[in-house]
Amino acid sequence: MKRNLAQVVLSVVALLIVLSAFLPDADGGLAGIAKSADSYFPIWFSIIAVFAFVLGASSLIGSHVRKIKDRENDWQYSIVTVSSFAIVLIVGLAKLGGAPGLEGDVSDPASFLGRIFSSVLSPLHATLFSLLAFYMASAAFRSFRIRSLETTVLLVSASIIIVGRLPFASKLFSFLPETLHWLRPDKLSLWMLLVPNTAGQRAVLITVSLGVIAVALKYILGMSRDMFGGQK
Amino acid sequence: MRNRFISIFTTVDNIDRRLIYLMLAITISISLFADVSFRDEPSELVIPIFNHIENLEPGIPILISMEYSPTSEPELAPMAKAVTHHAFLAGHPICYMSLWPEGGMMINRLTDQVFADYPDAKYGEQWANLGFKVGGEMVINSMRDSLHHIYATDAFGTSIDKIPLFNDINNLSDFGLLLSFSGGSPGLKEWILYAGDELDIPLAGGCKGVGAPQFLPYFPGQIIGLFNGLKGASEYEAALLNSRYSIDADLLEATNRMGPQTVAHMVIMVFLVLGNISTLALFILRRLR
Amino acid sequence: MICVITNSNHFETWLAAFLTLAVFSFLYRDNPFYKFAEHLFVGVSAAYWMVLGFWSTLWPNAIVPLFPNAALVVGATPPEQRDFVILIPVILGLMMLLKIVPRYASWGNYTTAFIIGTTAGYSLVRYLRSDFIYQLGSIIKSVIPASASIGLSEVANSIFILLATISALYYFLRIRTNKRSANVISRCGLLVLMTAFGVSFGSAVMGRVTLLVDRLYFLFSDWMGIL
Repeated sequence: MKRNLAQVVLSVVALLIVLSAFLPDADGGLAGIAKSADSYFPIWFSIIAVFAFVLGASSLIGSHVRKIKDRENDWQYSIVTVSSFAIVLIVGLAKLGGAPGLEGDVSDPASFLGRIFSSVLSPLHATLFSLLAFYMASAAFRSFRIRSLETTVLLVSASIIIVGRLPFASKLFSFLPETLHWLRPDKLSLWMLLVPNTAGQRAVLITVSLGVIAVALKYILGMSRDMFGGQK
Repeated sequence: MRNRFISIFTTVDNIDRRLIYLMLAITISISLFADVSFRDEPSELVIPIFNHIENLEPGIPILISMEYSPTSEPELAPMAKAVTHHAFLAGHPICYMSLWPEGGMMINRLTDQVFADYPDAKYGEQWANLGFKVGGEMVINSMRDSLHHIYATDAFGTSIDKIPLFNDINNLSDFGLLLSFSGGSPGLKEWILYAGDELDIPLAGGCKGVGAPQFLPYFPGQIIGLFNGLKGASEYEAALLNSRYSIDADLLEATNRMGPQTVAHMVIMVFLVLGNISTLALFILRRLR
Repeated sequence: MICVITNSNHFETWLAAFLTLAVFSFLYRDNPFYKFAEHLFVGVSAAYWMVLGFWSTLWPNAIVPLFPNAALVVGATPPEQRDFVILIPVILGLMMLLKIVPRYASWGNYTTAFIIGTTAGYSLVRYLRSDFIYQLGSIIKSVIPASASIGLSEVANSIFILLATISALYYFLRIRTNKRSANVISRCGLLVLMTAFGVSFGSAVMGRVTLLVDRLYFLFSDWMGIL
């Protein structure tokens, strides 16, 4: 029963939004209800999203607390996660170190939260992702090999882009006559981006959009109810 | 002799990955110390954005949405800085916002740096900061009808009804240009789907190098231009330097960072070629047997 | 080296440098410094997102409309009247939190329904228009241009894009026949996609290197002060 009711909520919410895109602006009737739904639902969604953050964080902290309790492998590091979570939460919710009291911007760089962001979160974030530069260099050497026609096309297009994006790419092959300027790496890489790449990516976009539409319809029509507890 | 070559190429083929890492780090470090820098040229992806801002009547506001975190800040912040310099010099008020939690900090970092060069810039008149709001594309949806509906206050808690910049802004249609500097989702894609295509207002954006190819099918129909990674920013800086504005070349961050970037590109190209030479050589030598 | 390093005496710079090096140490192999940095990142990020969500959205959009005087706490002007409609998302949010308690977890289904319903409704309309109809429109517009004065190269490019997109779609949609011509189109589609992926790899190199340059710049300049 509850699952059916939830499905009704889902379908009504989705249909109101779909209708709001097609019905004319009006104050009363179905058009008015759809228009109000289109206006209110995004704000409601934002508010609910905050609760989703809370849910996610409580699940994360719960799993780390369990790890500490059960003395699982590497449980000591879970203390770091739990304690850093608690400290940042207190510092941030109390807006410590910034403007007097609770006035002022939560993102104020002078506040304790701002300083934690600059000295902890920012370097960790940036460095974790910068590791990928090393992996890409390694992949370029180890994995990017000519093995078939497909890998050759992949390799050639990647190489043209890498060379074409050098700031002095326009100077390379500058000896070529005017009629052959399109062979210069900068011109060639721009052509690769705007022509074959656009074609490939457009095919991806169209296919993905068909997938998204199919999944959305599946949910709206109640053909998939996994999210309500795993039953069909 | 053949066995000796096979042994050499096998060694090259099985080189320790850590040696590759070290070589990359060393070459980038050397280029940083050598202060290598290259001036770029504006490409047809950024010129339409530059021209659009130039042709906008002074006083028409521009919205800059900063959907990025420290993960993509080195690529995207130079774009936002270059556009901020341009918009400010061309006389357009700028409104900043973000759909990412880290975006609030990113806005503060950027405005602290850029507006330090323009001490006369007045907050609330020439620029304003709406900060971060949870909800991703739903925030855009809300702003489409009414900005005041979802943003009761700016990032500093001041009611936006009291900020002069918002006197003539009711919704997204009142901006002369929407710009999204996006490191992922929600970002430029959501701005295209929920604002640009919906309201038919000029929209442009910038994204990380890795994301740029995915946005090109939207150009030039659904977005007027695109900053393609750091190179996009350095191209825009080049357009600024070639323009009527006098701007200190030292302020242009992307141009200065393109040096080490270029060196790293060349190193990666060398690895790519070397890897393929060793494969090819081993293939031929083993066939000779 | 020590004298160089003492150039920067800020605790925060030192902390940032330590964490940067701790993460870089993973390049050699997994180690306690990296694990420490990784766990710290998870804890700080989760709390940071919650704090931002609370102050930027929950406070101005839910607490202040329900309790106008709450605006005074942050030095803002209170709204003239309460907005009880906001109780709906607040209740839905609280119902979602019940998912933590297994006995009442099913109450959270209504919130899930609202979230999925909203997303499905908007996605259906927006993707259909922007990524399907408009993209098909772009293909048609490029082949039938509005202006008659376009050059030969533009025409050639437009025809190339049209054929390449069709062949890539053909490959994606897995249209399988025994006809040789169909398989040729499908294979051409695969090559178009490989080109696009190669372009993506080439572009990705730039982004990651930018980030690495930035971290090394931080170490040499802000921390060591030698740049």
